Formats: sequence, C-alpha cells, structure tokens
Amino acid sequence: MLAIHRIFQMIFGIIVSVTILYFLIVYSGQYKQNQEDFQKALILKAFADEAKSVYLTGISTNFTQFYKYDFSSCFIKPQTKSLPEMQCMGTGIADVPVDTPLIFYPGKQVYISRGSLDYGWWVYNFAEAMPSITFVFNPEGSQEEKDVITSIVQLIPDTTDDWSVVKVGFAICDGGSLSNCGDQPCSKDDILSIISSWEAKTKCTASLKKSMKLVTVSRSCGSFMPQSGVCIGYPNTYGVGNAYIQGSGKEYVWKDPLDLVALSLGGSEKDEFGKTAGEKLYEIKNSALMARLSLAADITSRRIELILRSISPDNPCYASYVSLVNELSGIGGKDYTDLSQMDGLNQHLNAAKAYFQSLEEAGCERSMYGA
Amino acid sequence: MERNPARKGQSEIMEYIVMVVLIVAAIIAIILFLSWWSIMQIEMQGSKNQNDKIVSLGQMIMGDYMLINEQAMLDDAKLTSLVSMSSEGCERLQALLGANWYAKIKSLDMEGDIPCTWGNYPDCNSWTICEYKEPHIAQVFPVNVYRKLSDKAALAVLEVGVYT
Amino acid sequence: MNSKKAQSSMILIIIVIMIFVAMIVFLLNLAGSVNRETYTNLYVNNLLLSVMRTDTGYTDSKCKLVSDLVFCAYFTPEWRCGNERCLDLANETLHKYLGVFAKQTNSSMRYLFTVTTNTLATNEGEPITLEMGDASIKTAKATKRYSYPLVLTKSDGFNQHTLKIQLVVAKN
Repeated sequence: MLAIHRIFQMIFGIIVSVTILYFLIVYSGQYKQNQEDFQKALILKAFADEAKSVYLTGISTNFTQFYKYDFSSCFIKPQTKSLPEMQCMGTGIADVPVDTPLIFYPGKQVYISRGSLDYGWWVYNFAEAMPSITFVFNPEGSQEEKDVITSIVQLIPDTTDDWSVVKVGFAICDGGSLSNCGDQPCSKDDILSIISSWEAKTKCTASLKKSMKLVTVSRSCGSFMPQSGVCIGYPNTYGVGNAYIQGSGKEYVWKDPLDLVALSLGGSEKDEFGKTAGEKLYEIKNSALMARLSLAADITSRRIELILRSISPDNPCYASYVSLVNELSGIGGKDYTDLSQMDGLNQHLNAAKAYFQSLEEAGCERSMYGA
Repeated sequence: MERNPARKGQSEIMEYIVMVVLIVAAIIAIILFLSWWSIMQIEMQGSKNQNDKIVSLGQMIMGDYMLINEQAMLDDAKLTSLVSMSSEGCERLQALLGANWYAKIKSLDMEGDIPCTWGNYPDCNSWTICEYKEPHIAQVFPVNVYRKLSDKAALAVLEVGVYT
Repeated sequence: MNSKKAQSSMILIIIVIMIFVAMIVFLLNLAGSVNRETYTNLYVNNLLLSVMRTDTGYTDSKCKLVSDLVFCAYFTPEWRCGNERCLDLANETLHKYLGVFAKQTNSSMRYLFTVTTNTLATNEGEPITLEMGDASIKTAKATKRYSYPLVLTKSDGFNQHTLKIQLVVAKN
C-alpha cells in the first residue's frame, strides 16, 4: 500500500510534467518557425552577397545552400526608385534587396558567373545564376540563326570546371530525338564549334525534361509557336527583333543577346498569377540595364563636354568627341518599349561604339597606364 | 526515538516541490535566454550589415565603369560630371546602389580641399557624391584618381559613409 | 539518509545551472566582434596598388610612376632621376606619399615594402630582396597586415623583368 505522500508526489509530478511539456511543445513550434524563416532570409542574403562578390571579382562560384528549403518561387522584382527585391511567393520571408544586376533562375544548386555587354564607351557587367540546365536548339540552318544562337551561347556560363557541381549544357533537337555530345549535353566550346556547320532539322517534338529549355530561332515566329520555350525572330539591320514565349500572348522586343538569355532561361513556366518566368527575367534585366545605361550615357556625355571645353577645335580628337556626345545625348530619358524606339536606341548605341573606337585608335581615349 | 512518519512524508514532499520549482525556473530561464539570443543575433547582424554595406559600396564605386576608366582608376572628368548633376546624380545612383550613404573622394596631388564643380574643373581635387550628413559611420579606401586632361594618376582617398 | 539525498539533488541542480551559465558566457564571447578582415585586406591591397600606379611628376620612363621607380631602385639603383639616385628617390617618394595618405586619413602607420624577383639571387640561392620603409616592422609585436604579393612586369626593350612587391603595415 502506497503512502499518501507518495501518491501526492506522483499526481503532482504528472500535472507539472504535462504542463511543462505543453508549453515546451508550443514554444518549440513557434521557435522552429521563427528560426526557419530566419534561416531562409539568411540564405537569401548570403546568396545576394555571393552574387555581388562574383559581380565585383568576376570569379565564378557555386551556391549550394538552396537545397535546405524550397526557393523555387523566388524571383527578383524591379521596384520604382529603390533597389530591386528578391521575393519568394507564398512564404513568410521578408523581401531581400539586391543591388547587383543579376539574372537569377532558382534551383537547388546554382552556378554564379559574371558576363558583360561591351558598348565601347561603357561596359555593362552583370551576374547570372542558374541551376543545371540544358539549352536545346532546333536549328533552321540559316546564317542569321547561327549568329543569334552564337551570341546567346557566348553569354551563357562555361561550367566545365572540375569543381563545379552545376552543369549547364546544350543539345540539339531533331524531330523526336535529342542529340548530345557523346552521352552528355554539349559544353559551350562543343556547341560553338557545332553551330557553324549544323544544318536544318525537323521541328522539335521530343519530350523535354523540366531542366531543358527549348530555344527556337526562326523567321516565322509570329505565325507558329514551338511546343515549349521561346521563339526568337531574326534581327533587323539595327540588331533588333521580336521574341515570343510559348503560352504567353505577348510579343517581346529584343535588342541584345542578354534579352534572349533572360527569355530563354526563364522559359514558359508560369507562376500562380499566369506570368512566365521568362517575362520576369526580361523585366529585371531591362530595368537594371536601362537605369544604368541612361546614367552612364549622361555622365559620359557631360564628361566629353568637359574635355571639349579644354581642347581646341583643331585637335584631331575634337570631331569624334562631338559626334560621340551627339549620339550619347540621344539615349537617356526614354522608356524603351516598342520596336521603333529600340531601333532608335540601337542606332545610337552602334554609332557611339564606332565613334569611341575611332577615338581609341587615334589615341584620344587610350590611357598608357598600367601597374 | 523513531522519526514521525508524517513529518518524514512532509519533508519529502517539500524537497520534491522545491526541486520541481527549480527545474521549472531553469526551463523558463532557457526559454528567455533563447529569445534574447535570437534578438541579439539580429542586432549583431544589423551592425555587421552596416560595415558590410560600407565595404561593398566602396567596392561598387571603385569597380563601376560609370566612374572608372579601363585601368580601374576613378576618372576625374566622370566624377565631376556626376557631382555637377547635383541631387539628380545622387538619386539616380542611390536607386542603383541603395540609399542612405555618401562618398567623398579627395585627390592628394593638390593642397587643400577644393570641391570640383562644372566651372573650376580641372583645378580642383575633391568630389562629394550625395549629402554628407551626421550621424554616420565611415571607412576610407586608398584609390587612384586619373586626371584625364594631364594624363596622370594621383593617389587619392575614397571615404564611404552610411547614415546611422 | 533522506536529507543527504535531498542535498545531493540540490547540488546536482546547482551544477547544472553553473554549466548553463558557463555556456552562456562562452557563447557571448564567441559572438564577440564584427569581422573586419574583408575591409582590412581591401585596404592594404588597395594601398599597395594605388601607390604603385601613382605618377611621380618625372617624365623619364624609368621614373614616371612609383612602380617605375621601384624597378629602377631594384635593377639600376644608381640611375639618376633628375639629380637623385632612383633608389633614394624611391624611398623618399614612398615615404612622402604614405605620409600624406596617413595625414589625410588621420592615422599613423609604419610600412615596409619588400621587393624580390625570381631572376636575381645571392650565391646561396636566396632571392635578393630590396626593402623600403621601416624594417623593424618584421620583428615588431604590433598587429601587422600583409598585402597579397603584387607581380609587376616591365620590359626595357631587350629584356622583360618581373618583380614581386609586398606591403606590410602596422599601426603605431
């Protein structure tokens, strides 16, 4: 027979234990959720910092921390008058500001590299981050198509380094079959050597995995759409053309290969609002580029005015400087959205590049410094 | 003399209750500590973020082709162009690099501190991008300023500050 | 017996609490200071690169930049830049520029530039090192910051020379 005080001890012990356990479980649940959101925000911030480091140094790297949670809904959204923000839909994570021009497509592990667009008088550097992807081409065989695809491939990172766990490759689609290089997707060097000699193939009907992006370059994009991915129209004499994303009724105007990389990388995958990933990448790419291009053009044209003030009209550099400043002052302050505006922009940019090259050749803009 | 069993029971209960109270107090202390630790982590992250922001702004300014030449030196004509755009230049740059900072570049090839304007270029040696305001924390970086008209490189100091 | 049992339980609880407090103290110390490594590395490396690329005011190609002076001081120390030996001018110029820089940034620092090359060595096979600045930094107990070695190459028309330059700074 138990003593009364033993019974009391047992009952009191049970009541206290249950109470403590109840509060511990409730608190742990909240703490876990807070910590999870905190961890996700830290991972996004770490990614933004890593992308900035690649942008500043040009040294490519892998970022592998995305595997811990689901970041598939994350994308970078431009803002008016403040920094673009990394947003993840349907999660409790606060938006993370991104001050690096960045083309980002999510995945469990991404390869971050730096690319650039050279305008002559200015260079636009950007970072791009993408997971293991295979870009699939469906050749028409024409020279214009080869030039467009070459310009796209040159902006896609080369991931053949042994240290990289992320592999970006290329393949060719011919009807229902896909051709790789051996049993692996082709590397950047391989596809560049193949492009120059490839011939027309039948329209692609092969079944493509989620990690494959079909890129079709065709003169008849407006009248037909491929089974998935993007259809890129041939450029006009100014280097401007139209592009379409499968499943989206919109027409996109492209003026440089980075527009095509953004549309191709994003592709036709839609979010819950029906917006394609290709369109989101296209928007952030142009928002970042146009803001910088406009400011760079204004700074450069004012710089040239300062120089012109200090040199005489007889100076051999004078005329080229005047021509260059005329072209640059035609660039800023406009909202480029349609084909004719883009034609005008590319005209100014192409002419400005040519004038700057003549200044370099004449020694007016080439510094002899180096350390 | 034998101990009274009732008293023995009472003292055991008291010991038991005191022990339970101490354990509960320890658990509550752990919970409070974890909450305080989370808050402190966030505050430390904030302070680290400010210093990181200064370093990354410094790197962005030293690496952006809007302000540097092909030898990665700050170009004095580009700096003068930017500061001569007054607050518009600052606003446009802050839309790209973030808000609440300033940068001051001073070239050491001239005595004194002569702010560059559209009118006195190139006979000047300092450029202030965005408003210098208190309170702030700042760091300095050694840089070169390339004097476009004389084709010479000067040693300079770049000071980057963020408002606190 | 029971009081001893209670006492040992109390002691056990007190030990647990002490371990807990020790853990807090340890974690607080770990949390400590903000990492300034990135800034300091950037500062020292930038200082070396910026000083080397700075114009001296001379027009002779052996004396034009500070890096030219360093090459001259290492390979042809008796060469004259204006009226001065380039070895002396290199030391003076570095001293002047770093002094102006320290004054501008309200800091005081000691510095040492060490210059070596793969092509010249002593009889024992040790690379010949030229030091410019405060050599006592090497053995000083102060916190020292080292730059990454800066490799410079210069051609004199006939030969190509390569120098490796490193900067060490220490606060006063």
